Amino acid sequence: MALVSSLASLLAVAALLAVAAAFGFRILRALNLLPESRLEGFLYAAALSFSGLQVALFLVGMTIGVKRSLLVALLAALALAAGKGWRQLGETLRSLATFVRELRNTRGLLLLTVAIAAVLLLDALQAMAPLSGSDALHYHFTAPLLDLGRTFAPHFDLAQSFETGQTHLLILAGLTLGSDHLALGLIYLGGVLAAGALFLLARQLMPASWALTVVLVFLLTPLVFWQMTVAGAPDVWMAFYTTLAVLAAARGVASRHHRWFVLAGWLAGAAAGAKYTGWAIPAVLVLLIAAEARSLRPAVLAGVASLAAGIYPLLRNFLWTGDPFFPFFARWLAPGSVNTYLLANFEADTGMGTARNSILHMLAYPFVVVLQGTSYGVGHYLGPLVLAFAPLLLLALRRTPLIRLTALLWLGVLGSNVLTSQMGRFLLPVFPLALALVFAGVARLEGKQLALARVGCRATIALFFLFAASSYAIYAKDFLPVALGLESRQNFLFRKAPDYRTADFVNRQMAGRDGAVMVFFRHVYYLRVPYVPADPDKSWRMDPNRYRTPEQLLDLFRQLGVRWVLKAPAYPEPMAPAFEQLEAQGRLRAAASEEIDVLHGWRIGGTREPARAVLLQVVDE
Amino acid sequence: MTEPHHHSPQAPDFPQPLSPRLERLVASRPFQLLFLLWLLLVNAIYYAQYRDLITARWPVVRSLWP
Repeated sequence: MALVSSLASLLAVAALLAVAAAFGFRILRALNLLPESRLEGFLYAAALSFSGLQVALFLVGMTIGVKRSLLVALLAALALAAGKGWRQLGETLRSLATFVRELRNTRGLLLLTVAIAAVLLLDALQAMAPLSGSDALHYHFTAPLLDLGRTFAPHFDLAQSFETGQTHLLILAGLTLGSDHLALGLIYLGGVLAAGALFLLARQLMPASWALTVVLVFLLTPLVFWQMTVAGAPDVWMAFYTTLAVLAAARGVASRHHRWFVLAGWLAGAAAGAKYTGWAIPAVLVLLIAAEARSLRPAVLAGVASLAAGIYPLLRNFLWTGDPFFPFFARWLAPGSVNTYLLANFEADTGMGTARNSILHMLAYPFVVVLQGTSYGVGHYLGPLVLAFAPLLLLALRRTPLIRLTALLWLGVLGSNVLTSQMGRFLLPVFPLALALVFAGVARLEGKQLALARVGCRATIALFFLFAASSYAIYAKDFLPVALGLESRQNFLFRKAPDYRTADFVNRQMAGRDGAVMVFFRHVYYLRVPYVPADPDKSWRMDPNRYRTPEQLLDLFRQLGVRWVLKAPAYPEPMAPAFEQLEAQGRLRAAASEEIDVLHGWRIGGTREPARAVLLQVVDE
Repeated sequence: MTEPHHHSPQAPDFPQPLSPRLERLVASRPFQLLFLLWLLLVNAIYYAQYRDLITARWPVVRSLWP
């Protein structure tokens, strides 16, 4: 049954892609933006439709709420409006079939394509495992779930919900259409499309065999397979939009038609709309377009398109808080309501404010981000190949617009990463650019008298494949059984989803009880009862400076309708004394308790510790 | 190796000849040896990060690790 459900969700994702591509083809034709390459046209079509859908859902969500009937009607309208776009989609599929048939004649290409197909298939199945990613359970999926079917509203108790962007609207679409599997499938689709865009870019810089090798490297890179399968974060869509933006900008330079710059700007804006740090992408690209086109007009057009595509989360945050990048600029833009405790925690969490900014350190960053990745936002998950092959940029960097755009956008985003967060994983949007460039250098070693360097590169790639395949296997063995129906969903969630046991305890104990329960654990996605997240590290409301006494807490309970408090296993440190006083005064009284075990650290570590969960009733007489 | 062309996008940016000076530099033995040393160094430092993870899972590897 689980396998059938997985396949049904994947089919639904494929159907969504078909509608998006067909409608996108129609739009591209109307805008006279159809390139001769069918794959390229297909990817632009999908990118335009999905980015447009994100904007539409955002506007609908902010006004009347995204309801299932409305979303289904919208998709049906897109399918009907696609018209001749369906024919172009059919031609693209026929062209793909011809491509595959021709591969039979070339064993090397066939082998690479089969390997890529196998990885994509395994990725698809893993993506169908129940949601268990830590950030996803905290906010990537929780915030859209809270907004399901309702007009969007600020969730100050879940401060990271302000960091959700337009790609989260795809998660919302998946949840609205029926399940988190569909939402995870849409994230996986972003990875597939990013791999397609990388192939297009690489194909312009190297022969097909190397372009396919780069795609395989991309898909097997730990950061990529983690993000497109089980992480539950939509960042991989940024890699798709960014790579296509570069290709569109290069077309603009080559054709001198401004509409390509508008498309490039729109796609860069779609990437930026996903995440605060993404704004470096259109900022740099607009400057590059001005330089390449030697004119301000196309740069301004691209800039306006970027804003039109991605500004909405910033407008939303400004509307709700006065700070478009809430909470990072709140101390200047909304000083009256700043929770300094949480802000410091956020800055530490994202690297903002804790980044090491000495010149020496910044120069070392491109090395240490990969070689000491645990200290730099899991930068080691990017693999060693970009750094290892960086000297070959000498061979790759030619004076062509495409290479200049690719290299300088990568450099610009790397620079912004150094200056702001110094988190390696935030480099995912430009990772395809970096891979394509360094592999262009590797490909250039072929056919030259460079035997030693060639052998070194091939050994390095072989070692990476060995490492990546092993890492992949270690990861996949935990997620495939449940997707294939060999493990029950409940057992998987007990084993793999952090705080699931705690959420399960709360759901069972709160059944039939009135009022909301205050909880302090991070991963609240699976809670199905009214709750108030109250970890001061994550909730803007729970400022420890404001809630120091039992009376202040009781006031808060009354204000929020909280009649229950979960202690599992302890209260958050800065507020513990006030809660403990309430217990001592008999105003928090134990109603139920259970031994649970809590997953610590990364899921892959599987470290568990026993803990006691106690549900306490608020006695407010 | 023949290449299917149906999905080839724009005119490829390759092959473009390298400048003769660059060609000579990268073909030189010192450059290649330096590059090999670089690869060795990056690979050694990179994979050393996984030492604890790997040896915890497969203790037999501990004896092989430098």
